[in-house]
Amino acid sequence: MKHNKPLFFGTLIIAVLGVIALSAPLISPYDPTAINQANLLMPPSGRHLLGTDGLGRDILSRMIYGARISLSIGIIAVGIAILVGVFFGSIAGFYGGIADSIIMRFVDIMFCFPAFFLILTVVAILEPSIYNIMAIIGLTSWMGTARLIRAEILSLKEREFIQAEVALGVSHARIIIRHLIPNAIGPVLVSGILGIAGAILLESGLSFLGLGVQPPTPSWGNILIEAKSTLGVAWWITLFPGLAILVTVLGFNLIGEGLKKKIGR
Amino acid sequence: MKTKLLEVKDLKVVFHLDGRVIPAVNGVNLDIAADEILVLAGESGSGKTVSALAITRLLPANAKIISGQAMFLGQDLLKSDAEALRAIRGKEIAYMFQEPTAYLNPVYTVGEQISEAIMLHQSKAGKEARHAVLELLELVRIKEPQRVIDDYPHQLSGGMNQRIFIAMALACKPKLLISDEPTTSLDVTIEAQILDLLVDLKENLGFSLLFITHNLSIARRIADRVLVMYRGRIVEEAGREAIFNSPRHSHTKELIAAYHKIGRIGDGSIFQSKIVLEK
Amino acid sequence: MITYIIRRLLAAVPLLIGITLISFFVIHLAPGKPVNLQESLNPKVSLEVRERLTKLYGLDRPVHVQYIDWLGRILRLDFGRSFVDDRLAVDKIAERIPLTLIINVVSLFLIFLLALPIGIRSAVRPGGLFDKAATVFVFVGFALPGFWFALLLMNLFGVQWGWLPVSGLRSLDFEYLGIGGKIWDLSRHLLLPVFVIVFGGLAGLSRYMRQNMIEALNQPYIYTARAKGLSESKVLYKHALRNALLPVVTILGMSVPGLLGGSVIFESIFALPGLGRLFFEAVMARDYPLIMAALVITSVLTLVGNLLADISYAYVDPRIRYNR
Repeated sequence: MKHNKPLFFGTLIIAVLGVIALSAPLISPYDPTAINQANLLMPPSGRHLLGTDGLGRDILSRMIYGARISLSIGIIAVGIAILVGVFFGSIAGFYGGIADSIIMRFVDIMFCFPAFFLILTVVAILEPSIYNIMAIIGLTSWMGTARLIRAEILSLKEREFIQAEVALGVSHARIIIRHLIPNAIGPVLVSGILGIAGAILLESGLSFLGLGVQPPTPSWGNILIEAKSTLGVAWWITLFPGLAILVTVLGFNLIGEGLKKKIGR
Repeated sequence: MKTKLLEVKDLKVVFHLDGRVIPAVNGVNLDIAADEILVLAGESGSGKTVSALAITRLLPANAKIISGQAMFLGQDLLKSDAEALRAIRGKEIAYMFQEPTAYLNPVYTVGEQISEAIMLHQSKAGKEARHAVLELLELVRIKEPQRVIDDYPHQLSGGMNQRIFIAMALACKPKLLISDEPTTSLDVTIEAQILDLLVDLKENLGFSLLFITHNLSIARRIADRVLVMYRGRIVEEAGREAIFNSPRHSHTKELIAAYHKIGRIGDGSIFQSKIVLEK
Repeated sequence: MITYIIRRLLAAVPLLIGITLISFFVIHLAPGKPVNLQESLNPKVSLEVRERLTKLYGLDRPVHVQYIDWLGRILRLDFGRSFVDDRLAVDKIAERIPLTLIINVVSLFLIFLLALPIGIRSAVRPGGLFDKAATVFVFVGFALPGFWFALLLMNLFGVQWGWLPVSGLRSLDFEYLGIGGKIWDLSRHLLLPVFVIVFGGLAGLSRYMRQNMIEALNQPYIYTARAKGLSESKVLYKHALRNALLPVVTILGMSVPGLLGGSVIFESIFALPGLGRLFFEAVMARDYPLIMAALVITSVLTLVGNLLADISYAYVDPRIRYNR
């Protein structure tokens, strides 16, 4: 019963988006990379619903495929972030002591770097490929999750059933994976959903700067590269990709908010 | 017959929780005479705190007073407007809560918090107010008032903070002091000191005390009269000796028995947690 | 209090070392030597220069030795010379910092100025009309890509209506303006960037303030304040707000990396000669000394910001300041 409005609307938006992304080859009117010199910078029309860009490519098609790209980058980057974060966080929380100190200092250090600076550096050095982008966004966003998991495990650790398992000699990995993590997963899920939103914003910013998804592969961010030079002339290049980013990030934020309400924290 | 200071008739309070309406106080009548110590006893969730808060309209937002009358100094408090209430609060009716340290603001010194009450109701300021605060600290038997006055609540013990609270409550010489479980979080020796202090102050300064507790042995020690509450209603009312020598309601008997056996009654009602007096 | 400060300072030392470690090794992720990569971008670099650079940076020595060398040098604030124009890296950074600093400090100031009242008002009547409107605003603010918002505003105010300049720091006739004119010109150029930054930052802080205020208003001592007969505004501003504001100080410290990161995009869009734009150019040119210098300096700035925030918090919260 979705009287949880944020959750309902958020899921609706993302579901629509997911369907679009998955069925891109089926619903895309044109090949997103097809250059058409005869149709440069055409405003939205019957033939090109969202207009064309400076190389005559259909913007709607580019945006549909862009949805695929942006969503997958967001999801995988966050997946990486969660894996790394849960790994470090659970070790720090469970074992405490030196491991905890080292890991938490590492987290503190990572937080000192402006994420964008680090990401730019690595992407420039390693050449921007989609996989590199996913990895580097993930590797600069795991710290929040680590702290969350650590906090959850610290509080769960004291509960009797955990103490019992330790006393019985159950292997630590088993305790962590079977018991502690599933109980701690709530806030991590929320932070993961919000993380996807953040990752999408990061990726579009990177692509806009030219260091993200490289054309001709379309990404909402890199469609906007042309926006600057066509300001005032081709409003459709600016409006639609940005709107798409806005709505998508909003969708994920709504889901996150709705989940927060649901788990009551 | 002593004059009636506070007369509460047919008080009914409900809580609105998740769309449901939960009754907390179901028609309570109580009155306090001037210079009297009235103990309102009952287990957690019986509605005693809610009744007390209702009188000066300090209830949380999800509580509603649906009927009743609380006559105090010729006014019906349940119908007074905000300004009238503010004139009464602190000045005529004062409060003390359980866990004094939590109920004191952590970012101001205890001296500042006491003098706030003084400056509000007595138009004293600066040095005069500080002097008044020091006198009050002596009155509540705090040693080294000069040092304590500039301390923060977290630097003082629970017992000290409760004395601070008494000082703050009595700063403007109220006619009625409502004490809600003031000694529950303190240990037994301190509790005895605080109780003695309260009774002595009442004798010397002349105010009425509405003392809320779940511990009937306290009632035995200090009460003039005892009212026993159970599930939002007053189930028994009697003088101190009568309550203990010849209790009539079964719940009263349970309360007495519990105290002889285990000492403290456990808690456990949704009301206590929804009142949001504690975190 | 003093012991707290000393402890925090000591705790910062391993963090500083960690910062240098990561800054150094992130660069060395590149396959091949930095100099080779440099050469492949800049064919004019001759063999001699390549050998000189290799010697200079000790690139022929093992990595950990290079690190120690570099660490020693940066402790003396010698971050080496930019590959691009051979100027000292610290000089290039130092001359760009003021602009970025001004923009971000002004933005932070405005964010606080606006977010606090919004958060307070939302908290006083949660679920009310103002709160609902503020919540919508917050959600949009969180989801809005800053650079896109900047483009939209540039289009509207710069191109369509021509009210504000859209790039650079100064108009062409800047030199001929009087002092007042110069200040006005600068302000006009900075208006859009600051507006975009403030709009984005407002969402987070007002939400945070709202949360803090609601928690503060639920505390037991608020009952006491009301029971004393205090007016509602005194209860709000004297008792609740003072407590709600305490942790906000730490937010200041945490905002630094976000603002610095954002400056990369905004300075690029608005063509402002600040630190973010310098970093971006350095990255594009694979100017490693400058990149490493910027990474270290910005992280240290963040660290200092956090330190100051923590110390301020300890000062302002009596429970920490007087900890017997």
